[in-house]
Amino acid sequence: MSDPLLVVRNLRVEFGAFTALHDISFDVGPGETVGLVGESGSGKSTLARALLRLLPAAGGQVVWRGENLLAMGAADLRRRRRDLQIVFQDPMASLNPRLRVGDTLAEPLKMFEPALSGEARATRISAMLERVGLSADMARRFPHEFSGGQCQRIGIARAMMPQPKLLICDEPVSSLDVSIQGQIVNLLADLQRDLGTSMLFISHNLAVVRHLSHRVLVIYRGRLVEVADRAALFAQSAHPYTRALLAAVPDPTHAFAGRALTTGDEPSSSPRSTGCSFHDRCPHVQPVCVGVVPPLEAVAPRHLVACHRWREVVYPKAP
Amino acid sequence: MMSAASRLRANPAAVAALAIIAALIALALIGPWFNPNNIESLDWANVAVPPGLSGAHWFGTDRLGRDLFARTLEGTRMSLMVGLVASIISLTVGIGYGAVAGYVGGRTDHLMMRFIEVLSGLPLIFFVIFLTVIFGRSQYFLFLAIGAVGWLTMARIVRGQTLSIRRREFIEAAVASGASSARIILRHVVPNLLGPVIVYATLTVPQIMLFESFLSFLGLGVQEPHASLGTLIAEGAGEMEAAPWILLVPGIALALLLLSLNILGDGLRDAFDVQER
Amino acid sequence: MTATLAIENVSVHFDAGDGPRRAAVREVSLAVAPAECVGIVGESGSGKTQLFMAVMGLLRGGARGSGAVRFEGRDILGVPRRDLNRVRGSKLTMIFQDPMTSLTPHLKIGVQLAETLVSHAGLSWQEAERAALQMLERVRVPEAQRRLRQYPHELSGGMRQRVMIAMSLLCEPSLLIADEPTTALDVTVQAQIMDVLRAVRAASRMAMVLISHDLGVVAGLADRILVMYAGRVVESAAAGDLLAGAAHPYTAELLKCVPNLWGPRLARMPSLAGSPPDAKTAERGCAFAPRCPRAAERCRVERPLLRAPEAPTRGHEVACHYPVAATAVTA
Repeated sequence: MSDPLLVVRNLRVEFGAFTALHDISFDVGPGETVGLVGESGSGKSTLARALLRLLPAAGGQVVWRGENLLAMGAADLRRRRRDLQIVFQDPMASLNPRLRVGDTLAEPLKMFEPALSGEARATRISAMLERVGLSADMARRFPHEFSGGQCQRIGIARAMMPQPKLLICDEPVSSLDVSIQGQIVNLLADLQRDLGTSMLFISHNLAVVRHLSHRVLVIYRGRLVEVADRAALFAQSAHPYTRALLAAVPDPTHAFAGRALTTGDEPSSSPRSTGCSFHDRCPHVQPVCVGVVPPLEAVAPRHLVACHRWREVVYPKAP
Repeated sequence: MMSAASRLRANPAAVAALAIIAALIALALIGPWFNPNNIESLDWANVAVPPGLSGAHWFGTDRLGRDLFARTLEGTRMSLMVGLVASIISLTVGIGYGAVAGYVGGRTDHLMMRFIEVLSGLPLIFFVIFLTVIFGRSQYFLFLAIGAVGWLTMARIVRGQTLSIRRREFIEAAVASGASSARIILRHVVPNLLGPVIVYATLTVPQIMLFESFLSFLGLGVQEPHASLGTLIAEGAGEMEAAPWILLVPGIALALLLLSLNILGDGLRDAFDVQER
Repeated sequence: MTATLAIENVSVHFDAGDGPRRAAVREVSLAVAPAECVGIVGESGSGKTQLFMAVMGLLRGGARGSGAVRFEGRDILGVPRRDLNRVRGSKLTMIFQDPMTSLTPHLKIGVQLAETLVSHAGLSWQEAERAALQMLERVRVPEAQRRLRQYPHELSGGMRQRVMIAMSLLCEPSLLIADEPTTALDVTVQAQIMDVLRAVRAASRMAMVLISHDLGVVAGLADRILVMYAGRVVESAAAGDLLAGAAHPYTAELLKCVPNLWGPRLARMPSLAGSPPDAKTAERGCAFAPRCPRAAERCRVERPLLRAPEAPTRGHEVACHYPVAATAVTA
């Protein structure tokens, strides 16, 4: 595989005494979609923002094409932003309600391609609107005139305007109806296929992640607990949390409809720094889990797991 | 914006208030053309005459025989000008100052707000007197002084609004797309604050007018032969028993103006609020 | 046997000032039998929430309900608030998607729970607190005693939803309406809440209405499922029958959209094209026709009525001119 575009090493984010992200490391290669799966409190949105320096990081490196974004000056960083764009979870909230859609789409062009004439800009904007499945005359309208799905398309259009090399998608379909999610996911897949954009696709929805990703990272309370290629993750996951996520998805066509494999409650905000972050909910917990943080170990080539007991616990084969 | 305007139109009280204000402005501007009298001419034959539409003086005259209609219109014009100019000053300075403080945050914000607090602590009236003593009693200076005092609260309001706007996702999106802080403040923050700011401005105009009236009442504001509603009220107060209309005419004009502005301000707030949701 | 809840020909209209009257719900009839769980499935704008807001007398913003709603034989639509409050909150309860906004932020959990019992069941504060503690344990809230003294913002989303469920169960209701109870929650917590709801149903004879845009969630709990589109019921069947063979094209498409983690990975993620009509659009023919893969000319002019299809399974009704023949949903 060619050199990765994005190399994240030991990224750490703190909010006062609370550590939101501990020691996160992963790569994203050209043309690759990496799925990041986690629930609320996992730190996945914090990670998206820390990568783009929308939040300060307490430590670590985010190396984009050889340069550490966290160490750059503000002006240099702004120039690099052209290549790293983001699509947000709430489509309506991420658009300025006072700007027409066309003006919102024009902003990236005005900043990164200031030499473009007004006409050339308008042509690019129309082309992009059509690319994302909207019509060119929508440029004159305001965000509140559109539905959630349409606003998300506008958000994607804005992110794609500067022709980025990496698109970070922070839960882009979570606030849409299940019946509409596929439209947006398919659009993203098409854009990737046509433009070769890499993607970091963040979601709590496993089915969507399964659809789009080449590789998957599972994050729980600020730590990566499993890293694997897609097929391996869905067929042979080795971490109890991943197993719980998979089992919890309700599926009317199978006998088990949404089983809860976790015991106890979801994470409270109290900081927990000793041991495995999942030990208080894990059905396989042992004393070693409470005391020592498990490192990411290789279960198989390209399959890492952070669990003390991965060798011992036998998981049922997926149906 | 458009839907807010239509919502305003649907509010009968606000529409009426707007109409009254418009009428007063129109009168103040073109009224003098219809009135043969001016603000200075002394009509010794008709001293302290009560109002009567048949006579030469529709609203009566004052102790010196000056036509009250002309003087009230002049007074209204003066009060409106003060309100307008002082508001413009406080808006421009207040928005600029507040938006920068709120957006930049951190120590800069801290310092900027401490500065405002120090200024707010100074008693307004002494400040104005002090400035008047130094710069003399020019009416243009009066506008400046009032505006210079009015921007303080506007800056606080704008800063508060900026703090909440700054957290909204489209600001994050703007940062992520590479916009500089200046661009974000101008293109994204300020246009989204205008709703509450306009409402607040409409509600402070009455306060400014009242303050001017108060200053003029004390003798610090507008000087003879010019009049503002405040000076007219001051004169009228002295004649209350013998010739009450000298107080009532400008008094009613001021009350009408202030009431309409307050109702319009409320209407604007209702019209904008719903849109925010 | 009287239905616990009988909805007859209910419509919800609202005037928006500018423009014509809009209808969020159009002539919906349904009945919930005692101890039955009915699932209501639909996209945003299908009217599913507005329908039950009308039932609970919670319509806002100029919305008006028409038709009849009977709870245990008594009329409750359009009756004075005093009469409605005799059943609302005690025998007929509702929980919403966002528990944060349903709980009063400045009152402790214990107080809010106890208050329900004190005002509806006339218990003393001490008795009410004891009952509240027991109920929290029943809905599997860990460290229940400590939680009673906490404020809503100190609890997580899943915990708050459990508190809401507890609150709605305190007076032993005959019917619990759950409007998207797990939509805002993580999938592992969702599974836990569904377990709680299942346990509650098993232990009591309470009827339930479960509203969701996610067919998968509803399928896990409902005895019968109704599918709504653009304010009307388009299909109604026993849960097993619906999942085995959806007759309405919309339901069939929805089934394809249910997240599938175990089947083969499809090249395109299934979805429905376009978006549902909003309440402003006047009805012409079948509301689903613009998005329907089976639509014909007749569908665009003549609105199909809800009736049992030609080879009916008992109780299976559909509103479609060309219903899908019964086929098993591929696993």
